[in-house]
Amino acid sequence: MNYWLIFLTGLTTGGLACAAVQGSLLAALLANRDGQPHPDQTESGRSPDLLPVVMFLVSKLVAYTILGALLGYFGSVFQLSLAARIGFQVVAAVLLLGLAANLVQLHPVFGYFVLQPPRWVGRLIKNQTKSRHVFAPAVLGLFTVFLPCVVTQAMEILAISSGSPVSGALIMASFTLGTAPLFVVIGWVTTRLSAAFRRRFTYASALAVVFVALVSLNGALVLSGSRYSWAGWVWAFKATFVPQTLAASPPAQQATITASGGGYSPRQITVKVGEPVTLNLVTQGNYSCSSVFTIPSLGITQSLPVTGTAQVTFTPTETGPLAFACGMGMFTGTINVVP
Amino acid sequence: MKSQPQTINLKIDGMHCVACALAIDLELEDLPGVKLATTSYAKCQTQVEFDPGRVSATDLQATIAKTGYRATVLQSSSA
Repeated sequence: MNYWLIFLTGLTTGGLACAAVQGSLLAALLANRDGQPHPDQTESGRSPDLLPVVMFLVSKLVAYTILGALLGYFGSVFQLSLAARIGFQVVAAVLLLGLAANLVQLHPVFGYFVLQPPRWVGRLIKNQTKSRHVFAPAVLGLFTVFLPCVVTQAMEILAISSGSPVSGALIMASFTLGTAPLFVVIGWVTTRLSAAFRRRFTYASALAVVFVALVSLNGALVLSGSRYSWAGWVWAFKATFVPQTLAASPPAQQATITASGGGYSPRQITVKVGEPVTLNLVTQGNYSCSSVFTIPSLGITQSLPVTGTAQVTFTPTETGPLAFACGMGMFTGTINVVP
Repeated sequence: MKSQPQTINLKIDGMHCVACALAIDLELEDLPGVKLATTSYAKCQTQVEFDPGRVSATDLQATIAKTGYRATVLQSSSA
């Protein structure tokens, strides 16, 4: 799970729609508090008040991190088996594609993929903008969790899919942090952006969401042991055109694989067919999806400790490439089974 | 003379976010004479229950236009 990529998504594309809506809410709050009809009618020489904005952003970050943890936990409860994970990732991919289609306004029907908050949320938020309490901006920031824009909803689906509270929290935190600079720059000063500028940002968001959908779909393929996953195509290409890069090292029936936030290392090992294999899986502070080690075609799923070692033993009965992958089908590797 | 409450369905153009749907409901319900406004983002429609003696369909459309979206009447009925 690349949290930098999620941060970048928030920074570049995820922030715009959210910034516009939430920025105007915050502006309304500040205007009401100062007893002014318009937020940009400040006294001459008075600098913009940064404290409410900071309060708003910090409490928004805290709220979304907690939400991410809850979503990740919810995901973990439903992803106990390989079959459940596969189903989950397919559903996630469909929802994400629907959200992307909605972003580019492909067809009105995609409006149904977006979650519309219930009416009491609107009432709650509007009343909050009328509050004169000193912590009102912080409370408003907290309430924005109930008003997620489309890209935020896509990230929430990803958080559920990650199947771990820590992963979910990190996903939502990275994304929310990414949206913060954009918010400060254009959000709280109500600015009208040209339609063309906004449209380009929206297409970029949609592309990011489509990318996440394809990763999810590919993950489902990997977890179902399919040869048509991206890793499968890469393997077939290498085997056909540059077989020397697949030159097997001397087979060993024992191997140590390190599982970290960046995947598995080494990604290729060689073993002999018909003899038992023991894999020592080592982790150190691993909260990513690689902490669930799977060999889909053998139906093996092994949860690894956050820090420590776990063992997986099996006996390969067929020669050829045997794929292993993380619990989301994102990080992959190959066990070369030789005669 | 008391007016009969009316229900009207309006088609909304230009809603690009779910928060917009909520904003329309709140703006309409702030109008005196509007009992209930329910906007569906997915259907691009809003259903408004109002007292025609105090507010007209044109007023509703004007308020929605002020929020930034265009509203056209789909159907109206008396309760």
